[in-house]
Amino acid sequence: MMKPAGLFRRNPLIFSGSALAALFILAALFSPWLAPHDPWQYQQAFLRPSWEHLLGTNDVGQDIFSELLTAGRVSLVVGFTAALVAAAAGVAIGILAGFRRGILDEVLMGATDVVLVIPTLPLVVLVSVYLGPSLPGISLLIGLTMWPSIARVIRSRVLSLRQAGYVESARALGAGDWWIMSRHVLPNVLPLLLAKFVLTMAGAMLIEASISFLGLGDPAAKSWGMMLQYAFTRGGFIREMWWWYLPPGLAIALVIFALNLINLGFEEQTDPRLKRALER
Amino acid sequence: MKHLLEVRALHVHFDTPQGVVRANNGINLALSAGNSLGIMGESGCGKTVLILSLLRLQQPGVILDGSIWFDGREVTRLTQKQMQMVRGRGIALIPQNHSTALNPAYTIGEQLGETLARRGGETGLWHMLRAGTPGAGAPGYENLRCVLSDLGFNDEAVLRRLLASYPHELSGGMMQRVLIAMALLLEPKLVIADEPTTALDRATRAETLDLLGRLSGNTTLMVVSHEVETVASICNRVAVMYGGRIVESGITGQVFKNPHHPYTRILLQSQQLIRGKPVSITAGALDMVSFPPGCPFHPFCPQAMPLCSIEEPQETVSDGGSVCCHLYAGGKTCSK
Repeated sequence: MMKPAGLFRRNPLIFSGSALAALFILAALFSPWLAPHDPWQYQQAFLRPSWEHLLGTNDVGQDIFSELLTAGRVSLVVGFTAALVAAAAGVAIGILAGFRRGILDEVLMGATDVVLVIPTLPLVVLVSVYLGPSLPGISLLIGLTMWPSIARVIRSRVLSLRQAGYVESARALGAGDWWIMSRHVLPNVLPLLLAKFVLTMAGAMLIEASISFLGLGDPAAKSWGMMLQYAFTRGGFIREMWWWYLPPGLAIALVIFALNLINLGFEEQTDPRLKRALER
Repeated sequence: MKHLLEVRALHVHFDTPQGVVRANNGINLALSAGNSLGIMGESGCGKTVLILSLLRLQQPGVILDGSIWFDGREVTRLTQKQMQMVRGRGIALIPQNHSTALNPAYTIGEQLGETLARRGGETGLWHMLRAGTPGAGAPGYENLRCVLSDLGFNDEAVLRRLLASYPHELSGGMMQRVLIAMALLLEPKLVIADEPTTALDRATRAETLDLLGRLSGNTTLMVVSHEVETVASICNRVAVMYGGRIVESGITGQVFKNPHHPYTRILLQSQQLIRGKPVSITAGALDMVSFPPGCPFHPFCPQAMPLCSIEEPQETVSDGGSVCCHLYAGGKTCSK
């Protein structure tokens, strides 16, 4: 097994992706200290970028640069939480179905297929209309629609792992199903899970941004999608205030790009054949 | 004397799309404590299915009939929970393919620590998470050191390096020894080695044979192999399998010096252990689905009689051994 530090140094995809993502995560984390203004404070509206207001001010006079830093918190936390929910459900269902097989496998994979064909965005839109805007609710909801692809990938890996020599010898020495699943199968699907987690987080962030842009997000919590929504409805696009609508859009795009880079790096690391194919 | 292991009329079948494969077709076997039994036969004769059945791990095969008595208990009637106590602590298996039998995600120490935790009957989640490399002074460490030093890791520095290494850092011979240690740590009543010397080079093979030979002195051992040399150097008893049945069994020296069953004779000739031209029977390996009537070996047997294709031969017991052939049905002695 490779040391994590070695992984970062040796794989340029993981390195650059992590560096880019770390930039946004640190900015969001330290936004109370980095932001030059209180993002909620009303000042003069529709100011152009200046040294005082790096990205100008919006329709109610809030400093856009400070808003951008603060909004990253909500976007990243929602994405992370949703991916956590999806990964936990996906890995549990995937391992259980793949390892136990039989009727349990049929039932779980049937359920997976059903959830898989439900289009995520319309469902989340529909449910969030009924439930009302709440951050934990939206995170959970996004997570609960995104586990099937993780479950499928994990299951197919487990199908080959359950035939592995060490699984058979653990069983021959008296280990039970739960022991083998958690001690021998789980650690061997972790690299795969990590790659899928990062990809799911990117997807979840995009969905959160879409919902917020549609005006279904929590208006009390600033997120990048919410900033775009205000820029759109309060005249940012018409007045061609690119410093208002471009930065949040770019932030979303760059974070998702960074997460995809990490995912690609992980996949290359777990399946070296992929690397050779890319180099050709 | 009461036997440690006694198998009676064991039938294990596999239901496949091509038909029913009769992998084990009426196995009778007895092994007393302290003895070592070698099971020989060509590939596909049912050796591995037999030992997996002893652990009830023969799935998808089904035990149709017969009984397996181990240490006073009927193995085929135990629940899965009871089986987990038999596996490892009663019967420990040294797996056939040593290169895949260790988990690549853990160090050797962590995996041996896991075995130690299991020996204490600890199966809970907490014990599982805690089962790491046992350090000096930890319960079971002395035991671990003792077993490993018997296997040649007697230097403290070498031992510590072994415990800290991952499986891919070990040679085939070292992995083999780790697997033997893993089986011995559980202090089983019966150790089964499945093809212990295949896929090993000459030197490692000799080393492994030597280890198992010493092992057979103080534990009950069962060795499955298709190599006569392996069985001859380790086991004091031998059973020859053909077509899912044990065709001949007895004391190793006697069977090898004076084989009764024509198949045993051909097997020994093929590995040049007795005089005579090696005979090839590969021209027609036995089809386990469309089983011939009568003796399964009669289509290839140089001494086949008309009776052989009609009636299945019964077991004839003679001085410490048994043979399953019409040639000896009347209690006749061997006539070449």
